[in-house]
Amino acid sequence: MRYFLWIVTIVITAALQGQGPETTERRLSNGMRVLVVERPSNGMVHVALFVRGGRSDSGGLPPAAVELLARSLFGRCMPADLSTRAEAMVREEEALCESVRRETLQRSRFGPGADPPEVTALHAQAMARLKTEFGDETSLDLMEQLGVTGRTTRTNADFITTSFDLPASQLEPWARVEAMLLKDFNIFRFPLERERWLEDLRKSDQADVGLSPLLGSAFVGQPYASAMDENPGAIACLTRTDAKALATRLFSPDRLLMVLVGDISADSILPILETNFGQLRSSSEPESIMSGSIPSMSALRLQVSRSRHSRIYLGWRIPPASSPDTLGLALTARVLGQGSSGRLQTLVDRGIARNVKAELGIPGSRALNLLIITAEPEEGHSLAELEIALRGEILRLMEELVPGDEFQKALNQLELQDLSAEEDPATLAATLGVGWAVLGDWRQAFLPTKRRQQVRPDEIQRMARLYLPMDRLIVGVVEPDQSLNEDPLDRKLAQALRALALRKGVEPAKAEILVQEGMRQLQMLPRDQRATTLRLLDPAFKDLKSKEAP
Amino acid sequence: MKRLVAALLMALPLAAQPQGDKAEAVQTFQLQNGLRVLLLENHQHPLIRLQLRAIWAPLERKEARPNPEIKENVPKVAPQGPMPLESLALRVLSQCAVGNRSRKAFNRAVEERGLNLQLSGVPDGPVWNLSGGSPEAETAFALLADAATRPIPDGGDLDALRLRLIHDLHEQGIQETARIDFFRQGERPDVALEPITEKNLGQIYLEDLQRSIMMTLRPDRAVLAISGDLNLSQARQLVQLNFGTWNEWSGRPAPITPKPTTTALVSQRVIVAADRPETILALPLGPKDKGQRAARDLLSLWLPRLLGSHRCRIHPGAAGWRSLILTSEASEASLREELLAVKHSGVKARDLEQAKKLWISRYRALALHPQEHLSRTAEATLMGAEPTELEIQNVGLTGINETLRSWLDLDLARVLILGSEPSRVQKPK
Repeated sequence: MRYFLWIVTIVITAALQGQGPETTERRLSNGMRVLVVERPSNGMVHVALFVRGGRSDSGGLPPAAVELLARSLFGRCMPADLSTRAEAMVREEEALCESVRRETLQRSRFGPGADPPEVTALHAQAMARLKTEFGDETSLDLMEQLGVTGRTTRTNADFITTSFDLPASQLEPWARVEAMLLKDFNIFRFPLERERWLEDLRKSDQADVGLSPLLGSAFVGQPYASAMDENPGAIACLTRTDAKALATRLFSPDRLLMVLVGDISADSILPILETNFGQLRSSSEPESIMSGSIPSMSALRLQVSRSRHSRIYLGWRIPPASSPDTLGLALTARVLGQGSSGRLQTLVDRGIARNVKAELGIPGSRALNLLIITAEPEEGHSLAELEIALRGEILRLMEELVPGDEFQKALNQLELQDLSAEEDPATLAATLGVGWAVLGDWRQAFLPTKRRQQVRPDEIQRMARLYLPMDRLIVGVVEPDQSLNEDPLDRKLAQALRALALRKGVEPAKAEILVQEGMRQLQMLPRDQRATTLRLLDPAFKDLKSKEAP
Repeated sequence: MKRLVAALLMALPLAAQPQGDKAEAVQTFQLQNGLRVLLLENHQHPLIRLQLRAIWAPLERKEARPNPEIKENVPKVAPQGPMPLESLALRVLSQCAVGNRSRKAFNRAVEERGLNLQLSGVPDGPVWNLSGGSPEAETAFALLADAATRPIPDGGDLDALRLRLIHDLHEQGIQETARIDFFRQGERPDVALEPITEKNLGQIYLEDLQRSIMMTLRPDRAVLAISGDLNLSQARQLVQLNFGTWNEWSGRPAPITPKPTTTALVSQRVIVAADRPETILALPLGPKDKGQRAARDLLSLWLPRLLGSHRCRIHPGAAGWRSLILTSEASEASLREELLAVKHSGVKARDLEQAKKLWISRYRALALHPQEHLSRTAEATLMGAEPTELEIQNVGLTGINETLRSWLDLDLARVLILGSEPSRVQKPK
């Protein structure tokens, strides 16, 4: 969730900034864009690479494929990552991994065999060989040898970004190495990164788990519907071949922007970038089309049972960040629940809520997205009570004009974000990059100064009435249900759905998406209805068992 | 009147400020009350950042008293070691009234002026960070001074926050609580700390808390770091105006950085039943020694790599202490074997060169991160200066391996075992 806050802050800052720093823009011969902000200092540069098209543009693969690709591509880089020596080793692992998956599936359908299959042991050996080749964590990698520090890679629904600091004198060797990685997409580390991520997921608490079903319901059939899904089953099914195809499509030069802020001159760096990144090939596949119009759908309500954490989400669909209403919506969110003196904070002061916040740009901002209020009830207060209180605050916003001082406070806070963005090279690079990836043109990040000067307090009332009506409210209620994890019903349902999908010849990764979507819908039903559904599916399931059972 | 004077002071130098100056070196001065002040001038942007750091003064309870605020299960015996006051004090400081304003009015005053004030806690003490436009510098200094020097905690705050902490304890479960207590002890391995339990929280009185806050918030145990669009003369005047009346507490202050202890450190071997087995081993790394600071910094950077960075880290502690933390699903015995192997093989020449390279890259990159730069500078002033590039370059193999051997003293290891299988619980020979 913290990551979302970061993205939202950047998007809002990008959409609202007034005066940008002096920025040089160039395009390489293959169409890749480069922005340079010259800031003489101690010979260091902050570099950020943006790829337009994030988790919402995964081309039929689970959205987690984008994250896994980014981890594999921008993780550690050793000499072995640049040679083709490991190609055979990785191909062998991929084949064995596929065999293990099928073996596991067979066993789940027809019961466990007497001995653990040999193929599992072979796959473990293949992974061990990969770890020996690529798992050295003790040495500096090629990038660190060049002085690269603080490398951070992130993905969201709209883009992938990787950023780091580097001595300006090392820009040429760095560009050579980075361009090689982006040219061949060997991603030999893919199986290791997949294993590591699955391990992290196994250990994580997944506190935001209720948000994913909410997005699924709010954006049915749209790219944002599953942008936050991190289903371990789907991740385990992803292959390096899938990821390579995805990389070829996503890392097309017309989708790339490089931002450099620091002690360099545009004239000296551009020939270096042209020599190295100018050779990257374009992809013929078009970007996915993002919808920006709000459907006239009625209110939605869904209930998710989890083992821990009571929480309520109130969400409304709002237009993309490129809309002229973004400023008004950002101010509305700030008046409501951002900062320590937001209106919703009174619920915490009154002891009704433990935490409450309002955010926009969930899960991204390029297309129709959500303004979401997230709240957790204080002990002794119910979710229903909290929901009534939250609705009351929204209605108050619609009916009463926001006082001038409260409005000015929200405006001042946005101005502080602008100032901070210009001062800090990393935030500046992120603002420019997000402006380009989300708004379509980095210059738009600095356009609406006049708009900010013209905006009046009644704008917030107008936004609340226009975008936050109760008949379009999407409510997600997450309630603890200690028995759910132990309840075999959902496990059997998922198993039955998976078996059906595979019997129909659906690819394993896509089957996982179908199962997940099916379970999401089924979990909205009461338990007895879920049991009925299982009974309906059961003959097919039993049928499969009876055919093969000894 | 105070505001008028400050406004006049601000107006003249700002008008005469040259634009586009390069960032300058750290300038320092000290108030008569002992407050140390650092200034990093940067006139490229109309922004200022302030950071005020203080050092916790843990309070040792000497006698048992009945607690009138807790009606049931009043323990008869008071805890012996320092109480878990810090977590409670930090929450009180972030939520109590300030000066003559309620917390709500104070927060509103901060946000109305387009300022951002955050209070966070590091093992050493509370840290206030404030940023805002330089035209609001006068207000920014005044509000920061209010937040840090005039908090008014009351019994209502304490009760509500204590209940919240107890609720958190219940929610996070036994395993997580054991982890938190284990890491907390690692922050101060020379003193046996009382765990954060419902009983111990119930034993904290308002007067204890007020005393602890008063002992913590004193100018001679604090550092104010300033960066941004202010010159030295402006900074001096604003600091004097707002922090000059911060009274020095008459009590004897505890030393900020204790001398390396000669007494035995806290030993611990905690076993907690858990579904997911895990072993956490912590080794105390002694308080900063000026002579070895460069070797310590290099080793802190490199040791996690030698031990596999994904499950080894250096946990920052209070008063110069740090802990090396190893987390693994493997048994305690195998973790000990691994540490012994590293101790015997030592740091190689190639490792040392790479560690130096990494340190220097990170050090130089600080210039690109104003907030981090400010934090590091303030911390170095409060807890002892950081090594210079030259000192890092001069570290030799002998020096770093001596430090390594002194660090990897396995007799000092504390262990938390999650899981109850006999093979895991059994103490290694």
